[in-house]
Amino acid sequence: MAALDLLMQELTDLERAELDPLLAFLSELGAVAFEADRVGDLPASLWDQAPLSLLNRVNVPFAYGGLRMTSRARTRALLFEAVGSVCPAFLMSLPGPGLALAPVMGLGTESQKRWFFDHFQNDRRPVWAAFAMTEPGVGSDATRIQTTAVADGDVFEINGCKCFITNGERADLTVVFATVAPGKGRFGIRAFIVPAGTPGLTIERTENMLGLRASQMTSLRFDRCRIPREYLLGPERIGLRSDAFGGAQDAWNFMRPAMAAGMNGATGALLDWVEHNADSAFIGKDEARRSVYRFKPRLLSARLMAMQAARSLDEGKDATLPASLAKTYAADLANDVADQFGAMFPACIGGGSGRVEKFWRDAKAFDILEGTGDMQRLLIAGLKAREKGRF
Amino acid sequence: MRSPQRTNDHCNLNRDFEEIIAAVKSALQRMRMPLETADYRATDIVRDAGRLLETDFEGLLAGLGDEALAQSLLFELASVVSYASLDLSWHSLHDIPRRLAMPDSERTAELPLAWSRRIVPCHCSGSALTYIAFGEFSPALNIVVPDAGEAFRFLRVDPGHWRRRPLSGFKTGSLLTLETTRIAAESSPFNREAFDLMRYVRLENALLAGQLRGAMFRLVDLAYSYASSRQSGGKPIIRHQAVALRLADLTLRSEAIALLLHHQLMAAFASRTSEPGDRSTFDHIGREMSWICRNALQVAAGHGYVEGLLFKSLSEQCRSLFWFWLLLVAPTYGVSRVASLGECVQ
Repeated sequence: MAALDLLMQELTDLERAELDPLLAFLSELGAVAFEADRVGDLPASLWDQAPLSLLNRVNVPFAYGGLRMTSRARTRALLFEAVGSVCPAFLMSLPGPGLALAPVMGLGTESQKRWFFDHFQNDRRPVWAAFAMTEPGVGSDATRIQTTAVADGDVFEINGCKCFITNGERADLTVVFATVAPGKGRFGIRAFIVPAGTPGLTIERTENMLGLRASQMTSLRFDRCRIPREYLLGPERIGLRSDAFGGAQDAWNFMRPAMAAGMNGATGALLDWVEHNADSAFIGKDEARRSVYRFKPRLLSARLMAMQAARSLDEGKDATLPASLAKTYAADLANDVADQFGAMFPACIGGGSGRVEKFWRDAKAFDILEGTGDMQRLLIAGLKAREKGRF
Repeated sequence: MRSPQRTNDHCNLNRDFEEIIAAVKSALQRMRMPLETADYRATDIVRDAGRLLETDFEGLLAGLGDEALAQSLLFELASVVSYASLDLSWHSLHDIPRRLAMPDSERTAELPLAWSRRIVPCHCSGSALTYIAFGEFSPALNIVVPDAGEAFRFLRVDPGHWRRRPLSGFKTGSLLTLETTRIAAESSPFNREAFDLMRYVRLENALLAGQLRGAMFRLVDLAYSYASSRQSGGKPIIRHQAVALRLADLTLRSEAIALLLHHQLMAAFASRTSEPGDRSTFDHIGREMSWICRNALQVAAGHGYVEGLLFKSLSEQCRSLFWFWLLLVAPTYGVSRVASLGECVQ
């Protein structure tokens, strides 16, 4: 089947009209993938011809001006798979609300949603949003956030530090998680929208990353950063079901199926590359091709898992478990593929812009971001142990 | 840019089937009980499920007319019932593929006991292999002979030519080998023109794949149940990270294999072939099944390799089921693999 035929089949005529300009842009992306990896950023020239009015809205909900085409998790995952096959770093670095979408949708009022998503109705420049949860001392245990938000009249004052924030420097808007009641654990956590340029918000540094380098990762500092009260997402009162942690989980559930699909796209593209370049494999072309065939069933499983997670989202079910399964499986597969072919194409490990070498770095980064593989496994085991009957 | 892979979503279930499957699932959920008292082979709940199956399932399947839907439903139901009881699944569902492949006029006919055997693949050289997982050895066997790729023949064989051996995981089962083929070419027990042999093989494929999925999930869930109920260092062993990570990997791999089995089943139907995949797929599923069995046993420690808590028997059954499935969907490959292990075919 030709590229993206499946996606084309599933789209209506109206939706296909949205896809065509994006496909042309994907070709442009392919040309700059290695340069973006080298410099750790997206080249500014990329936006000159980009279909920004579409690109900014890929992840925006349809009801708030988003694309009709990606209003379903399944079609979104298919599109991400195509993007991932070009370069997995673009999965996170392209414009749009990204992870910030889910907490806004889950916790925001109608007017907050309209205000937030209106920012992406922009055909002149790319617009990003960021999601700021992780802190230097609080990585995997997000319920122990140290960043505080203290009410002071009509404003909240935010103090603290966030790290590993994707698109943190580019973002026009950042959804920041902070506690309004230190000591209350997850029940004290609230989410706030912090616009770029707010006094007290500074970009401390942009990390020099191992992989997925085009997705900018930054550390943010909030020093007496005062924002209007109406930028609080969700209720202020402390109580069960009033915290913002559910919004964070929704964000991961929303993105993981598409991210997993994207990584599967990257893995599939690398397997195709190896198949076509088997002659240069250190171990011989026959063994290289056999290795590719051995990975194909796993790749198919990974794709099925990503689509299953997307279907859970589309059906309005809790996607926590299938999304974690999809993400973890895709990451494992990508890393095994990277190890296998890294050994078969040793010249690529010597640095530079080798395809296998870049994939090795990207795969490792993918296993770590948005919940490490180890933490995903603990989550999976915990959820399965609590499951009341498989059938 | 590569093309995203088409995935096979489950078909929308027929309303009657939804009700039956929901009832069976509900009955099976009531069956959950503490590990120590679990009885795999005989409970009231299993009888409930069996009664439901005997009442309606076959007739409804036959009435569907949509083979893809029938395959999908058979796969789903075999999973659910096998999860509760492989024995029950074997006895209540084994006849369905054959009946659905027969013309309507013969569908309700009484059949010889020989049908208690399942599939009989045949090596291209003439030697053959079959198994009887449950039930008695009957005086006549019918074999399916894969004949040059897509064609199958359905023949009847004198049992005097078979050699019988024990079957791993099934105490009452047998593994049979046929070394000399003495088959009358027209010895089919049915009207061969009317019997849709390829349909029979595809439905058997669905049934076996579903049983494999159900038994595998049961084994994995048993590992979770065990890890939640046993303690070490003052806490359930599932709260020790090494055990939790192993359990998560069991979930990851079993879910992946379950999806792959269903996908391959539907792909085989779509392409109208009997083989749902290539050798790398079969190898992959075999390796994963082996890994799942080995690691589920590891969770149960000493109970993993002694009789009593079902780990040993379930893991053996899962591995045998995989071979059953392989022998059906890739008979030449499967038999040669078994032969290479020196287990049965000479």
